[in-house]
Amino acid sequence: MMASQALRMLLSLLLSAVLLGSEARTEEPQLAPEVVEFLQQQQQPLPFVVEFEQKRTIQGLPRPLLSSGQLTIAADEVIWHTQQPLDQKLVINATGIHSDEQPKLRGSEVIAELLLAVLQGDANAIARNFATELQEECLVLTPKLQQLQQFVASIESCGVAAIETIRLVEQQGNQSVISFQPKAAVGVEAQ
Amino acid sequence: MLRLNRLTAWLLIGLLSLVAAALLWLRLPSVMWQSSLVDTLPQEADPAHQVYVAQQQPNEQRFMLMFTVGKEDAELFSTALRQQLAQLSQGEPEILPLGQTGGEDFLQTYTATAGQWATSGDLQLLQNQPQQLIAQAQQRLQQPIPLWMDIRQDPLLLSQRFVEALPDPLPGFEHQAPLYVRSSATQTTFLVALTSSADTLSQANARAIVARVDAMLASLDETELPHQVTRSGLVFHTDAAASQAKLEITWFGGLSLMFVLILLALVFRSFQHLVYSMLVLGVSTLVGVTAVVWFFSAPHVLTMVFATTLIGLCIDYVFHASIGASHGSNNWRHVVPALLLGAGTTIVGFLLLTLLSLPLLQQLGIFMAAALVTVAGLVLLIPQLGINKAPTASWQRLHFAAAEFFQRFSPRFRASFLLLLAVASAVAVWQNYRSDDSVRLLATSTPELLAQEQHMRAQTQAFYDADVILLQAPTASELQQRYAAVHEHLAQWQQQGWLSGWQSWYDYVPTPQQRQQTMATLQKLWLTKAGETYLAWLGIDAPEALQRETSALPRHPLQQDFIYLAATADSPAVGVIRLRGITQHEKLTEALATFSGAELYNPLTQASDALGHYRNQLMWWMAGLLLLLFAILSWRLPQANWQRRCLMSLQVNAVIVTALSSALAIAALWQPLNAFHLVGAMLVIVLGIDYGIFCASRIQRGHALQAISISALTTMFAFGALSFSQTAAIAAFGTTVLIGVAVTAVLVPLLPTANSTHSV
Repeated sequence: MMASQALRMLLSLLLSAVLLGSEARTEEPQLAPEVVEFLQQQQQPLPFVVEFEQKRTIQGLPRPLLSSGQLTIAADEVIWHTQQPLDQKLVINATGIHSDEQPKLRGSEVIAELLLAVLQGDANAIARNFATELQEECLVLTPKLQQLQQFVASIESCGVAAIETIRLVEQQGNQSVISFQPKAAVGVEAQ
Repeated sequence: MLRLNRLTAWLLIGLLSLVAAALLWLRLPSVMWQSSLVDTLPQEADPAHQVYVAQQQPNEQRFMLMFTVGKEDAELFSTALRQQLAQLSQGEPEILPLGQTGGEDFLQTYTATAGQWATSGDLQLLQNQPQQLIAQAQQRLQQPIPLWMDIRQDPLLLSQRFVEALPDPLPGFEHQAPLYVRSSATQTTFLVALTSSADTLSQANARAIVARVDAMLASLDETELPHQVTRSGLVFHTDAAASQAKLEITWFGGLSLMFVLILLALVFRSFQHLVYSMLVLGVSTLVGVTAVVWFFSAPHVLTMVFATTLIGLCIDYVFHASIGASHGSNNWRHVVPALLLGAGTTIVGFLLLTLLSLPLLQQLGIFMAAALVTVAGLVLLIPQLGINKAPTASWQRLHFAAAEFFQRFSPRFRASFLLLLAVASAVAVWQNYRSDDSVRLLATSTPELLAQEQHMRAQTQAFYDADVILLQAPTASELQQRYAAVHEHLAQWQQQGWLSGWQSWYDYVPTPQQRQQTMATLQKLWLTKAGETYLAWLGIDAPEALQRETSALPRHPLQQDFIYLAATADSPAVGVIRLRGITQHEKLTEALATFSGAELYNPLTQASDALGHYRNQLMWWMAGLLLLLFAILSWRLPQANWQRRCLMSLQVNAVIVTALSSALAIAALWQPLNAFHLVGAMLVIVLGIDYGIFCASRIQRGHALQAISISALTTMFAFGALSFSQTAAIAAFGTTVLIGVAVTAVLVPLLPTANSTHSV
């Protein structure tokens, strides 16, 4: 009897220690299950390449600016290669956005993290950086960081089986709609 | 002499207190108490220096925390830290992340000036290769990066490029608001810059802020994620100094008080002397403060630090008077002239301070003179108040024996000994004299905090030296021209290795000349074919030509950090360029001398110079006081003829010189002499005057020694304990008083008595 009581006490002590320990550790923000499921459906094996068309509407300009090119999405970086109207290659990775001419665009780390999270469908990064809302076939992402809120109003990622369009709405009223057309699913080496 | 009864005496004291309190109450609302170091500087200080120092708020409430964690824990720790910082911003006192250069008001400045400002690099491109700028703008427009300015005003996106080229406040760290993050292969460093609206110079506020930070750090410890914390900021040092002071007050103050109480209990079996000393101190301080606020509209709080000398004098006068009164009315008749002579000499001495050019010493002179008049008046009421309990018989016997012992030596021997000792000790202090007035020596903090501060400075480049380039001009417009002229040479001086970095107003805004050139070049560009083609590609017209006044000071959130505009017509407009890693002070000083209104300036050096100035002035004052003492004693001592009065006066001076010299010589063994040693020396000299006059008076020597020894012992207990303080300034004061008063008390019995018939 004494032995079983002692064993129960020891077990409860161990349990409480584990629970207290787990409580003390900080938990990561979590996405709603339906959002995770949506992202999983959009997710494609990395790396993959898509053709894109960007229609950028800028306040004050009478017509949108159109550009197109190819996007290579890998686990650690995204290569944003605009071919029309001007040839330009951007490398987006955790350290920021790098162009051909500039080693790194100053202050681009945060926007790079955002783009990587959306294009790679990284649930943890999305949960960390955005408030999320599902609207039919689109996931609407609103930045949590005040630093980003002054530039980006929202990002919409639309498409069920894969990302079909991304709409980036800026605070100043500008917006970019980027449409994707898959080119190759696997076997692409990221540069 | 007035015959007063006890009630009348108490009524007089009450009336005096009431009048002083009423006068103080009347005057106080119009008094502006000063606490800044700049207000203690000599009055002839450069107005630009005064403007700059006045703008350097010592209670700036910014501080930083740095956390170093293993790379594997970085993600979790970052989340926990963000949560804790969010909690820190709720509750009192509020602690918030410091506003960033990417903040809303910051961007608004550059939005408002879109199309008018360009970096120097872009201005050169604009003038020489505008096609390159156009191509870069076209490329930029197809990048997925937000634009925040109006493209119709700024088709080349110059403002956005300007902001992206602004100096990095923390090179090597990525700004992930509110954190700055730096990662290596094994660890991640998080840096947090915080600010609080609470005044960190207030000990209570500093404690409250540090308590909240400590609570946050304790919560982070509970995450069980191993991390190392580094703190940096005045608030931590203020709190550490306050804790140290509290500890010292508790221990030293408690022990001193205990010793004094034991001593008084043993000598008098009564505490009436102590209670009356406190009353005299209270009333005389009230009168002193009242006099100061009526004579000075902006008195300085540091005056009260220097005025601690009054405590020693109060104790001294009360003991002399009460012991004198305890030995009967015949003895009291000899005590009164001695008291008045001592007080009169000291009061005149303190009034001499008002002739010096240092505001603090002038205020001290008035305070001490008014307070000492009150002390002298109040101690003369002692017989009427009945505070005349005699010391115990054993205490009296001890001092009669001591007096007898010292008088066994021949007057010639004693005089020769005192004079030789004075000369020897003066030579000793002359030979070993070393001084250092650096204010850095006065800083008090724990070694642990200082190490953390050094670590933070080594890890970040967020700190600048105390040396700055100070620019001044009669108008804001001229200041901009002078500032711009110096700014253009900073890069060259850096290349020459004279300095490693800087922070300048023109890192954040273009110079007036650049603004003018940018607008003029842009207007020309839109008339060229390349400009027109680009505008046609965008589908917009050329931006409207703005007729902006480029010589006006642009509005910018950081303006107040660099430009201090004159509050009054006769103050200059002042600008500052902060510097880091100066290696060639002399070359930089020489180079700056070729620019109008520019100089290399260090407020710490100026503060140190000011302290040195105080030290020198106090030394001259002491020399003057000794001469005055010699003259007054040679005239007023009760000896039979002037030769004897002069000789007695010389011996009193010799005792004081010996005490001062030995105190300063010994104190200099611990730390170089500074102004605070001289504040201690003030107490030594005025107590020496009293002890000397009492011994030279007609008071029976045994009676005089009873008061001198108890006065000296209480002063030594009360102030000597401060020698052990961790605060260099307090320790300097305490050591000087301890040694000086001890030497005085030991030597004054060697003075001949007034009734001595011996000649030397």
